Amino acid sequence: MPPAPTPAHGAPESGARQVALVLRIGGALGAALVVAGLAVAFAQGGAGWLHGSGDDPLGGDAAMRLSDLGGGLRHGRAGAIILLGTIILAATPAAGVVTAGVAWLRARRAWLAGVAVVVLLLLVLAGSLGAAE
Amino acid sequence: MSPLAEIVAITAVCVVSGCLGSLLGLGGGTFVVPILTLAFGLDMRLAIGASVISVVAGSAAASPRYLDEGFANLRIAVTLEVATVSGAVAGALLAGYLSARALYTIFGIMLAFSAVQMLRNRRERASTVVPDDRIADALSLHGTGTGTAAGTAVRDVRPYRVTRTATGLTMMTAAGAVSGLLGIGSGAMKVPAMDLAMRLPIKVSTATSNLMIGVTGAASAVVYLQRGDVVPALAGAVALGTVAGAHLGSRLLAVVPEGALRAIFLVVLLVVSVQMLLRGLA
Repeated sequence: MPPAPTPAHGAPESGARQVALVLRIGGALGAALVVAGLAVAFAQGGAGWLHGSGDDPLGGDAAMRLSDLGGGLRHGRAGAIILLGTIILAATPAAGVVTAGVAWLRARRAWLAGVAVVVLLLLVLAGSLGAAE
Repeated sequence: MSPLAEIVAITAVCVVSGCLGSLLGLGGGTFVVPILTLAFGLDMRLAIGASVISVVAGSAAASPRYLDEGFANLRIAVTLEVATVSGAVAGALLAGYLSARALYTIFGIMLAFSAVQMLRNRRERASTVVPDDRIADALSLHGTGTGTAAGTAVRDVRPYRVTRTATGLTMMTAAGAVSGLLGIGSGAMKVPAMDLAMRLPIKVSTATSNLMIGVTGAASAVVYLQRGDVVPALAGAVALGTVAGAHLGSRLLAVVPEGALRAIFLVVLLVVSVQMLLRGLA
């Protein structure tokens, strides 16, 4: 197979614009949810945040698991909103790889699309190994 | 200090670490964990959980600009991620069988060696012919990046050729294995691999590393989120500060001269290597 052409001077490479857009959307959405969650947390426990009374929002007791997310959101817990924001931030780079793979597939760059699929499979494997720990 | 003041202070510190992290392709973790544990007295486990989130957030914040401006090479990032994530999986599987102290020592020596090599090579680059590479040709990894002419602030577009992709992949596997074994980001190994082995311009190396650490960090973030090692308010404050800093760092990359960037990177690399050696040999 002949090598695919290298991008011309200054021209964005295939898929770069789409990936940048996905990263921008994911980053903005995640950060907005984190800000909203912090605002809700402050509104719910402002006195504690100002004077240090009550539960420490930075202590180990405030830690949440992924499995706490659904229940937390249903009950309007501020921590769950922040957690959702961080999950969106964490998922954004993987969404970028998916976008790159699709863009390369459309551009008929099968080798690069294949590489993106391998990366995604490895990420799933890494995530499941971590979850099984 | 009240929790609110602590959160504001943590956010402010993370603006600085996020800026440096995105500029140098290291992520914020190199700076965030020591600051949270030593300056704010937070639990190491929770500091690492917040740091992992910050690495991913910083990467997502800085990378769009790097991609738009042609600093980050998407094809190289995804290709090398195959090696990094494979190494991380292998490292995580081996984690129980190897001593952490020995690993810190090896990692510290490798970083010190990379720093010395980067220091020695800094003047040879312009005159050296880049050998052809079949993998780079097949995957069309070569690209163009913007640079600053020596002694001026004039930016120009420069083509670059990628070489020794196999060596780069091997070094990235090692970087990924270190990540998996020690639970740390490995931007400090990724940048020298691209700079020394693959002969990428330093700005392309740091920007591409920045894009890559987001993908590698995402896998670690899932693990920390599953384990319950993430305190939402802490992770949120760290992520917000890092995102703001990463935006700033991504604007600075275009204007910072390559020589200065390389010098800052070398200093940080040496500091991290000494830190690792102290942990390993203490």
